[in-house]
Amino acid sequence: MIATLDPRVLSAISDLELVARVTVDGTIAGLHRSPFHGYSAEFSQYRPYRAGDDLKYVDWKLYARTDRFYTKQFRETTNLVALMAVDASGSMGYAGVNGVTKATYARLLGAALSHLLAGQGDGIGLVVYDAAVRQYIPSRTGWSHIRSLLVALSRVEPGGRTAAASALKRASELLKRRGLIILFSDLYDDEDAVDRELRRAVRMGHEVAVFHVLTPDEVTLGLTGEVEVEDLESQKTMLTRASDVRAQYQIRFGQFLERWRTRCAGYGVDYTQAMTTAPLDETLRTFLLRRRVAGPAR
Amino acid sequence: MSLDWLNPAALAGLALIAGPVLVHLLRRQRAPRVTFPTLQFLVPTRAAAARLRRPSDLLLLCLRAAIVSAAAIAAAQPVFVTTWRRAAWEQRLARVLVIDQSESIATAVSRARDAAAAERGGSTQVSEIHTTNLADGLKQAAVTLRRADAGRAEILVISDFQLGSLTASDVRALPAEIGLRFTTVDTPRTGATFQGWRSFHAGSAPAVEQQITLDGSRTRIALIAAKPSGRAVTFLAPADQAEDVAALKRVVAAAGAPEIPVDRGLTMIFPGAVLPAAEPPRVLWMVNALAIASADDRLRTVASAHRGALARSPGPPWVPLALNESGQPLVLVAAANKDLVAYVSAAPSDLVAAAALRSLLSAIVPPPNWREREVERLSASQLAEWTRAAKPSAARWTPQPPGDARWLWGLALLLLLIEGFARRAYPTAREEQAHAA
Repeated sequence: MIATLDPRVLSAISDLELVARVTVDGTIAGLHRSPFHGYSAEFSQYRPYRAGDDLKYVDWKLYARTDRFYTKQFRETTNLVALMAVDASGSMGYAGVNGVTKATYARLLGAALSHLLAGQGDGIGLVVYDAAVRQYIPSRTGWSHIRSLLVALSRVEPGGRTAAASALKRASELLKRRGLIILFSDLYDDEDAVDRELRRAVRMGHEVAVFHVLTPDEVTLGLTGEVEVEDLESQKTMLTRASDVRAQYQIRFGQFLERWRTRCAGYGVDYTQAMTTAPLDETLRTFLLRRRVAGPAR
Repeated sequence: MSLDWLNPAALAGLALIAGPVLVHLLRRQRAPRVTFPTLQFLVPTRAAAARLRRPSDLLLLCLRAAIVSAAAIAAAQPVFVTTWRRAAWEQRLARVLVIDQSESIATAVSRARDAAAAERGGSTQVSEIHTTNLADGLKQAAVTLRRADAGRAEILVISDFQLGSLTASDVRALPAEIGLRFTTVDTPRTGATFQGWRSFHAGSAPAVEQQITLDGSRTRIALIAAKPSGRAVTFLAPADQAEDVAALKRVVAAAGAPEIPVDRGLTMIFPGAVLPAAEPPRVLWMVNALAIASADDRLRTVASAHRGALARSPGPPWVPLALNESGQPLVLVAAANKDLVAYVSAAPSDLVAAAALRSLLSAIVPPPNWREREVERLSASQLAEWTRAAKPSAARWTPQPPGDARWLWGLALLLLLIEGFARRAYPTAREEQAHAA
């Protein structure tokens, strides 16, 4: 197992497929099996035997106990269908101290997850959004599809405003059946609207995982002295003295993180905080281990 | 050690320090702009007042102010007055040679020139003053030495030192620190007997001439008969006053007056005579004569005592020479036909006519230079008594180029290099913040 996969090093590799493979190999090497499950051959119910039913589905043990014929019924057999929603708004272009932008980190994470899912035959799709859905690639299986998805991921350039709620809504609707929605975002958006769409997605039977992509500078307010701060999305400015407002900022930001953590836990949404300085495999492994222990949220 | 300046006006350049200070203050007014993902957790602060009080990049500001200061001070050309510099200054000697050029030394000009040449070596600065009046020469030398760039000053007088050419008061008038030396040029004591005035004569009276003999401290003047060679004075008066005019000439001749030379002329006009076309006196000898005659106390006294009725006086270009007791012009002069013309508003028999004629004759004839006829010399002991050495004087100190500006220019250059290094090594606060952001 590779000890750590520095995002700064990985971001310098232009071949996203290679990055994904290296990351997944390093991550999965420590796990005995994938925590992703499809919906194949799942028992549904018994019904009384009718003439013409296939005898192989007759439950003979039950017949022995009850002296009646019952036929076993199963749900439709399918693999996991996943759709990644990647935030490509301006705020995702912010780089941490290591120079890795949040968009880059999200891209690397997305590539690794795509590779992982494709490896077990699951379908994976992509929604890139800012104020609107910028690009949509439907969920499919196969390596050729993955390659085109990785190409799309590698072309993600941050810019514009955010509208995560509409992107989530769109992703929920685009998944034809129950599936996994993986959101990569810094969640600087209308919280109520995003919250509403999260709940809706869960109600629709989708499994939702949120990667909250952040830089340490955002958490601690890594500015110094008196600065005129410009919002990357709205281009609004604010004159402030970092040392004077840092404590208040950290409190507010802590509350913001706590709100999302609580909210996701309440809806059964898998919430992962992804710091751009954290090794990529570590973030991925944390996510996968939690899924293996807890199982799918549904 | 003290400090002097060669160009103190350049210290005004220190005001340029305000330049970098203002630049740093104004630059500080705008906080660096940094991008951030969101403003929703930030709160604005008000710190503009604090910004104005504290300039940015104090180290760079200090360096830049120091560069401007060093350049301004260097331009002012400071001179540090050290002991050795002061000693070197006091070693410098400024010397003025006062060389007598009077008539008495005319026969010894080459010897005076040799004496002057011998004194030129060894001193820092030598200048020469050629004069016919040693007293004036000393004053002129003192003025010259006041501006001299040397710690000591000396006057060397080269002359035959006729008696009276210098007096103790002339020497005392010199500043005490100025040294004084005398070099005597011996001249033959000729001309002990020489000709003085040729006297004005009237009618059939014989013309006489003064013969002056200088014999040591004694002077003898003898009047000897001489042929009249000068030019006669013209009198314009009514015919009935001819006797009075003749009497006037006799009186003046008897009183003693010089005969005017052939190249100058005098016309006396009395009331009743026709006035010639006159013009203001412009020729030099006329102007000089007018100046001398107007200062003649005897003429002024006689004129101011005059009480008789005055004939009508002519107006310009006639110039009043003497006024009566009521301030009316009694004697007026003008120029006509290259002669000096005097109009007397009184009869020829009046005393003022005689006083005016005598005064004008004396004024027209150039006064002989009696001093140059002196055969006695100032004694060697007297000159030795007046001789004194030059003394260094703090009051004479003036800073001399080159000063110490080169060190300041070097310092400014060094500071400039340090500033350049500091600018690269330590980014400005703005850059720092932008980088941190």
